[in-house]
Amino acid sequence: MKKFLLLLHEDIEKMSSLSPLEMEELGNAHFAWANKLAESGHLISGDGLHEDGVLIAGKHSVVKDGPYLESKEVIGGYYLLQATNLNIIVEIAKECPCHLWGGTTEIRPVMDMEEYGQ
Amino acid sequence: MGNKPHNIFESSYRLFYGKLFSALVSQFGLGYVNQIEDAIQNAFLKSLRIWKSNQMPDNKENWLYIVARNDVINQIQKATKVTSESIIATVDENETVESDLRLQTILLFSSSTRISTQTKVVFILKNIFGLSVREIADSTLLSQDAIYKSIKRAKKNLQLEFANQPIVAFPGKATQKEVSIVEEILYAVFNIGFDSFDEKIQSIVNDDLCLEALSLVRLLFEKYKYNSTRNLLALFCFHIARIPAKVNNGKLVSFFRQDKTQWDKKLIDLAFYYLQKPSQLNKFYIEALIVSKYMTANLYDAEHWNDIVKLYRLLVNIHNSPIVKLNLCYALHKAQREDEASELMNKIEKELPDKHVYFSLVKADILRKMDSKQSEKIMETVLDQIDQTIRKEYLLEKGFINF
Repeated sequence: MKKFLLLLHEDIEKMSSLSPLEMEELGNAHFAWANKLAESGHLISGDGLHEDGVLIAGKHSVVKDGPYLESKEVIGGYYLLQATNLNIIVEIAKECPCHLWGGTTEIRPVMDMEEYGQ
Repeated sequence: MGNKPHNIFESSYRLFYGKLFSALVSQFGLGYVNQIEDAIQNAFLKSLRIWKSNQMPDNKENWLYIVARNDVINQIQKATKVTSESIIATVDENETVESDLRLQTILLFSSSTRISTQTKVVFILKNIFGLSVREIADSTLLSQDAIYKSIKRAKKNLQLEFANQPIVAFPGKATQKEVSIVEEILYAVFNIGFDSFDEKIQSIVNDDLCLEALSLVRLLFEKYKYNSTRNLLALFCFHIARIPAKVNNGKLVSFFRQDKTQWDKKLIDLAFYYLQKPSQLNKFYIEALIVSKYMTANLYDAEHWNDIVKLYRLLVNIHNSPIVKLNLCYALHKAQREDEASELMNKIEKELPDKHVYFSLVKADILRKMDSKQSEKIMETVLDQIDQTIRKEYLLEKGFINF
């Protein structure tokens, strides 16, 4: 089994203009989707992320507040998934409710020693 | 998204929105209405990111309330640089959102002398019933732009008028005029729920809005006992009784083809219990009477339609809206009084926006025999305008309007 990190890039503007009903439906869709992945054994973990964070850069370790306020997109959450190959994860990610409101999903395969031979 | 196998959020966010809004306004006052709106929106977004099957608050509404309340406090602190103690001193930390202040809030807003009824309707649809601007535009004859402006104006004026007015108890008295505005608002909400054009919602009926409107109207009637409220309750019950028969196998069923055995008999009985002739005619009484005629008629013959025409004429005298006239027009057509129907249709056309869907459907139906080509052309334009699959299928199959 290989591991994959699924990052959910959300469109901040769209997300904050959702109506209560739309948010409720989105919440239910995420829940149903995560449940399905848990049942099929693809889900390892997943969480939502705070919009504000901290950036530390340079050799002097300059600490700054998260850059997210100026950007149109923010990583709103992640899922850690597992499958035998990337194609399966692509099919799974296509159904991620994140896409319903202008979001983008990014799949990053987790590097594994085994891929590089003995 | 349409089907919800795991409905973890189960209770309605729309309902939560109105309760949270009313509770927070009663705590912080209307001066902070913008902060309150943002705080509720943020609390909902947070719940989307945090709630999971193994990570769920026992009392979701209260969780949202506390998150939103703390958000309002933070916003006030940031803006005014006031220390937290002075704000928190006025906020009860153990407060919960158990008391439902929605109707009191609606009554307060209804009593405003500074804003129009339409503005009140729009503002309350947004903040008490939790509809977005787009959802309100989809369900009314207003543009999103006009709605934004309306809401902005409403906020400004309500703040000026009620800045320090607490929303706590029911006012002991409410005039017929104030109650009428509340009825109008709840009726508008009900109609939006009963006949949803929202493309995101594939089902035609939004039960939650209908039932919330019903429960608030019942409360309004219990408090103030006006006849108009009583007949509005009757009207709601007649309509809700038909919901089980309105959609069958994912398809919309026209009124005349519904399986009447599926109608809720108890609700119909309740509707007749509430239906009561007033000393002075009001529009809800006549509307409820019209629906009761439809629902109890054995035969939809000329006699039936002529009765309906009479009632709609009475209604037009009280409430002269283009939609009521359109209903009258349709009834005239069904009563085979084509000349009167055509004449009225031409008048209404000038009062409605271009390509108004319901108008186009009635026009297509009336023209079907006289000018079948033009009738088909109108139907094609209507189909282009409608995104909702269930409604499209219905129109294609029946080529007929929905009652």
